[in-house]
Amino acid sequence: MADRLTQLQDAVDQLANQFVASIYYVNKHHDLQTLSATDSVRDTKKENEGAQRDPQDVEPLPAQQFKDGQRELAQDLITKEQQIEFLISVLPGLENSEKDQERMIKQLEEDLKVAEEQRKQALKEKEAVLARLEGVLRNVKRP
Amino acid sequence: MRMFWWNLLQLPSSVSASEVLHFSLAKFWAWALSSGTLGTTTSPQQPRSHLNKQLEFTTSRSNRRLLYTYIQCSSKRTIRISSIISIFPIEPPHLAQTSTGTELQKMEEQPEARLAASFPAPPPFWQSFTEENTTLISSLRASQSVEPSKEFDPSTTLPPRILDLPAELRYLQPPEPPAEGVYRCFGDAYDLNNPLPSLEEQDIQQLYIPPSSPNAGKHSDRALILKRIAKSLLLNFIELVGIMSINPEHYAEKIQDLRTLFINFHHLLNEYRPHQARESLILMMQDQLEKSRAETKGIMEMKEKVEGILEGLTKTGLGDEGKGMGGGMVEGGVDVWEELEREFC
Repeated sequence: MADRLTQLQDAVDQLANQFVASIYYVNKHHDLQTLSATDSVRDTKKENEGAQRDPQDVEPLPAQQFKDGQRELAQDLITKEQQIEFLISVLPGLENSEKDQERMIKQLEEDLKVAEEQRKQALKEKEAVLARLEGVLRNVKRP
Repeated sequence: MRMFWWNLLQLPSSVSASEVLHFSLAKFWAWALSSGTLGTTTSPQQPRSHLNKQLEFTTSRSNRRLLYTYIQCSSKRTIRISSIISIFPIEPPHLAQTSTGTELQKMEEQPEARLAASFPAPPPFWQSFTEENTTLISSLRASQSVEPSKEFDPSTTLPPRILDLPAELRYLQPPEPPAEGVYRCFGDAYDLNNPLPSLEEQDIQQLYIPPSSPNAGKHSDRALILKRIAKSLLLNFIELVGIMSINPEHYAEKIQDLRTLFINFHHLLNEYRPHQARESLILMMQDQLEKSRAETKGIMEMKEKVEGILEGLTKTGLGDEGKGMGGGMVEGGVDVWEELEREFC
């Protein structure tokens, strides 16, 4: 998994994509309106049957479906926004300054050295004990 | 040629692939030697070498073909199976009518089309890292270093540079770290000291007051700025939708605002990167420390267990035989053996 900064940047990029997608959805699927009572919506679909469809063409969706789509997109936007805010709040080491960090790194380095020494010591002792055990096992003869 | 293919087709079905290849090679040589149709420059005295030249040429061209197995042909020259396969196309009877010259030409063209590789070949010096070479250079280093007792730690220091190295060892010497801070990787030049260009340099309005210095101050105010920008993004989007619904012609200004906001957000995060890198290092070190400690603990526990068992053994040895420590068990065992021997004699 990527680090949190990258996650955050990805999330922001996704938000931008969602903006575009939302606008596109509304632009593509909105309903057609009449300007005055005497107008009527031309049924371009039937006229253009078989012909190349213009990608700019509006494809109206049923009112309920359109509303649902809008709602879903809006919810997604809010969710993404919340994700972003959460990611911001969990950015690592917000409270540490560079000096703190350097101090911590030095401290950890020391600790690591000590721990490594201890580990080596323990390994040596283990070897010694193993050797003793082996000696005893070898000396035991099966009756 | 027809005879040759005929021979090939007459092969018993049980022979292995390599046997087929050997067989067909032998047949091929025999055919090439007996027929005078190899090419205009072929003289009867050296048809073999001429053909080998042609074959080698095609092998080098077909280096990157899928089949990489070598076979050793009778004339001690290595020929790759792929080249053999390109000598024997899939439909032999048709080729039997074509002349050898066009056939060879065809073979030359064939690999050309398949040269495109998904990955570049590794740099040639990986081949120098053989076992012999590494041992050789480590012994050379040992003889060169001032303190022979001191162990060389590759993580902290570079090995001493040896000036007069034999050619095959030259690549085992790590290069000097880039002095100027510029290095090349995959054909591109990179600068270590490449600073992050500020927003003003990129002609983008800076929406936040930069914290006194990007790395020194507290970072919580940074988070606050980020949150503010995130909220502004959403608000600006709503405004954009509003503008679009009333007068779509005026979208440009709002889009520009959104763009500025996004770029600011990313820029702020990129400024944060060095901090994040240090933070990750701290986390990794903590992790390592924990692991090391856990390992030590495990070893100690096991040691104590084994010691306990040893103690127990010594005690029972003492109890049974009533003899001195350590020697008890050995002698006890000897006693048993003596007992057994007496019984069976």
